[in-house]
Amino acid sequence: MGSLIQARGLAKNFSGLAAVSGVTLSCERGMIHAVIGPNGAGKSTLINLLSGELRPTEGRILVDGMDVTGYGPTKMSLLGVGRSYQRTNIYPNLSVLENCNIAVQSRLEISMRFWGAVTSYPDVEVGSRQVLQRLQLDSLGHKKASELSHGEQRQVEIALALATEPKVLLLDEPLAGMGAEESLRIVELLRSIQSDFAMILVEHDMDAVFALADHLTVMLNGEVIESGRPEIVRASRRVQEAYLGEGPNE
Amino acid sequence: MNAILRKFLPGLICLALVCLPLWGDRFYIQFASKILVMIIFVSSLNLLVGFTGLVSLGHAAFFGFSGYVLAILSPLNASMNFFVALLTSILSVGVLGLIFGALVLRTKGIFFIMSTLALGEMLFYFLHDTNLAGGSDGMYINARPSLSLFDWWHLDLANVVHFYYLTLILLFLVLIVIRRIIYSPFGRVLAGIRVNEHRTKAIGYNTYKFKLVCFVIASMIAAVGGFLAAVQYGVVNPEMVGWHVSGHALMMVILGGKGTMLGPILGTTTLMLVEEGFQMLTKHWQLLTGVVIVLVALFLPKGLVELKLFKKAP
Repeated sequence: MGSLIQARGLAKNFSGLAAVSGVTLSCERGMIHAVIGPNGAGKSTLINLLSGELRPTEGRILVDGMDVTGYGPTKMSLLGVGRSYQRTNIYPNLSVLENCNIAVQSRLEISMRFWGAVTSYPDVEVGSRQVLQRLQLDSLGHKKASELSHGEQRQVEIALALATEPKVLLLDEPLAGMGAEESLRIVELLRSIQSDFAMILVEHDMDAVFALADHLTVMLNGEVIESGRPEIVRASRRVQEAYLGEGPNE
Repeated sequence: MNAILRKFLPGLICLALVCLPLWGDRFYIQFASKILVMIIFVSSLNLLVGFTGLVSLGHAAFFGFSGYVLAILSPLNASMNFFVALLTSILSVGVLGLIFGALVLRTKGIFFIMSTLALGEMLFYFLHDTNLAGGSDGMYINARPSLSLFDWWHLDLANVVHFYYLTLILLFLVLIVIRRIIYSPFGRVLAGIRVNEHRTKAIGYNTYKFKLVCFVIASMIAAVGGFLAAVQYGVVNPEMVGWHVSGHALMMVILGGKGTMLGPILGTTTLMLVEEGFQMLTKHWQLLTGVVIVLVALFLPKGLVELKLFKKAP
């Protein structure tokens, strides 16, 4: 099976400063490709490049074999690249269900309809309920997103990405700020849905990374210093020096 | 007592509005029509400001331009067919809204406010300083549009009662249209844009397109108001497109409560009644109006809709 998403020699300069340079990676359906590295290594920039929010200075991005370099976030989303954000980026003053409805609706080609109420399109709510059920959030449907706990908001963040029915899922620190129990639940969840997506995961929680990743890429100062199967990367001297050597978690 | 009042209030207000012309006094009927026309315009602005989060200071451009289209098209002696006249005004303004919107929506936030202001003022000076449409004096509408139903009934827009009922009906239709829009799939996307445009883009919406369509719809609804205002006064002048009118409407949106159906109705009615009342009392009426606005801003920051009376019973 071919890769659903590929980056070839991807680079991004911010006025001379190379945030990401020469990154090549790929991910296929059913695979979780984790990207780790110390703060400032360029992981979030990489996600922003892959999701179209930043335009690469160099290199190419391919989705399902098609060159999509330079596409914006809207086009990327419509091509099946969904993402979640490191800093929660949801609709705070709408209910959880309404949050999902907007995302589900983006796939139904009804969004330019002015007349009938959105509730007269049952597909929207059915889709949202399915996503919420998958994330075990169905009991929160009518709560305002801003009234949820931080951990719950992080899950709505993931729900929004899932609701657009992506092929590729880019997760930017999905566990940031979550409690141990919640983290465990999300790890379980990601494992259970793994087979449907090509997942690229940026995460600081090493227990989660080693529990999930099929493939590991380590970044330092914008460059890939090691890439391979987790057990091989874990054994790499370069990685230990640059990254794991500094401490167990950072 | 309060609960009973709340339950019957909408019905009572509707009944009062329908019966108002029986009262007979020309001045009050005209004044009531003026308020109804303004509610149409303010509601259209609320669609942009309140429901989509686009604060425009140039919305009067569409209000005034609609009146100008009517004035330019009206023949000197014969009356135009009412529906033809109204539709022409709305469609012309829709085209102007598309052009203005395509330009201003490339900007965001404060730059959006400034560019709407700039385009509105450009239209003002264009009408004011050229002789294409009467210059600074504006234009008269000699023969108002009319409508005959098989020679059996005749709509006479110079008649204050006819005009009042026409305005009431159009206001009712406009409010239904806006309500349908905000609960439609399209309206939910607008809500998404208002709350978090960044995420709305990221889940696959071309937000520019949605904002542009909304901008055009809002301009066309403003055109209904402008058309009626021009018919009521029988004259149009450049002030109608100026930023004063836009700012006044924006104040009404905020005073009443932006992003609610009721807000523009309350804001417009209150501000116009307050202004009219104080004008009767003193020539320093603007000072007193200012005090009222400051008090509302202090004690009801979300607008008059916050008053208990207007809240739905839990």
